[in-house]
Amino acid sequence: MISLSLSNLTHEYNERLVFQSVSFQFDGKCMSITGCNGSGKSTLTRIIAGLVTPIDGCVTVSVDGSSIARENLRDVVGLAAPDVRLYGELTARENLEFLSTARSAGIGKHRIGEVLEQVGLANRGNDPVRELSSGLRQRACFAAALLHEPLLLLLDEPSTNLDEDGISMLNEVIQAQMRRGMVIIATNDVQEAALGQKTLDLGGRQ
Amino acid sequence: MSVNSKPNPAISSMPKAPQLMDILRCALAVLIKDIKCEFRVKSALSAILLFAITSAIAVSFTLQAYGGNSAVSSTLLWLVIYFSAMSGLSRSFVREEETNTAPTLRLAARPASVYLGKLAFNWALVIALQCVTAPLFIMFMGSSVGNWGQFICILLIGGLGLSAGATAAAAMVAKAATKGAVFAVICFPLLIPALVISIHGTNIAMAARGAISAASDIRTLIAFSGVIITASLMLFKFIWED
Repeated sequence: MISLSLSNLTHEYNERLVFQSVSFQFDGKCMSITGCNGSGKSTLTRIIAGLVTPIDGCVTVSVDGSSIARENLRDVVGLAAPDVRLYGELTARENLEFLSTARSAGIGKHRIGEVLEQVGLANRGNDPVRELSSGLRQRACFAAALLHEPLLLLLDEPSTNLDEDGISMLNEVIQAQMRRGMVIIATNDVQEAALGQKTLDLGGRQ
Repeated sequence: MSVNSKPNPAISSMPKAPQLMDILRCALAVLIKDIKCEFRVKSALSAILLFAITSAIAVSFTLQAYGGNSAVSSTLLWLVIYFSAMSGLSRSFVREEETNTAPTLRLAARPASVYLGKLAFNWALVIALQCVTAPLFIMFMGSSVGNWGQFICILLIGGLGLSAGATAAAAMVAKAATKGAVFAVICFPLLIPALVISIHGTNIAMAARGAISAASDIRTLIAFSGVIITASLMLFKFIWED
């Protein structure tokens, strides 16, 4: 059982306050983060993933009651976001092979094939990522985020660039993740936000 | 709210402390990934080699008369190597930030593995640079090498010293607005000791004067590289992560 606790989170960029004293507890399967452009949705997902340190407050991700240290978050968290990209010079499969070795998590080749199949890239896995369309690159990013079967999946604006098939694939990914652990969706899309059992609304600009 | 009653396989594989072999395996993966990307884009290699070949040939033709003077030859050789390396060694980190792949790398690999992988890649670049520059330089300058063993050893270990410092500096400047200028400013004081010792050792290896040996320079360079690599491994987490 995975749970998330945000405690008095405050963050700013270049002295511009992004959000202040955000506190939230969640131990369900799917939550959504909403808010206007610039309200800090992407920043918050990056903070939860351990990529950004908030100027104040703390994030606690716990599994079965034990909190996960920040340096171990990468084993538990998967993040798919518009500004988290794969290596364009490598193929989607090569990217996943690199990530599986880098994670040292004993991810087998069969898992790479499985995850490419899951995101609908089985036939384009050997194409360089830079030659893929934006929608297919988005799918490749989902594959990278799902590769190590994370307990916590963070999706930032996940349906951007996706066609109908892609959105259907995304819904399946979300459903599968809800069975495995927790999914957090940062979005402005009303339908996506409605998937969340709880919503954290960051409101408007500060 | 539904709760999954089936045991979750991911939970049973909760994070464990990284083992040395895991760190090295991951560093090797970073090195192989960087080599693949470099051979498909050739951004760092072309910058370094173009600078190296041009400057080696220009210096050799202009100062050929000093080819027999090992002090001048070794100084010029290392200046060409140093400035050529500076033109490309920051690329491995800068490219990660510019193409937004740095977060992907941060999410997948531990900082120590990233540093070691990037260090190995930069060292390989410097060795490739030396393989092209040193023969060209010796040939065009008409210099002679008295002790090839020590000469090659100094080139390799001096190159490691340069790479070790440059790798940490590259990670520091990758997010800066004026990367090139900041990289040179950070590298200069950090790498001067390695450069001076390398020039001294190369001078001795080229001159091969009787019992005078470059062994002490090689030992000092190994110690310098060891200190820089150890300090970088300890500090890299704070440089690399936010």
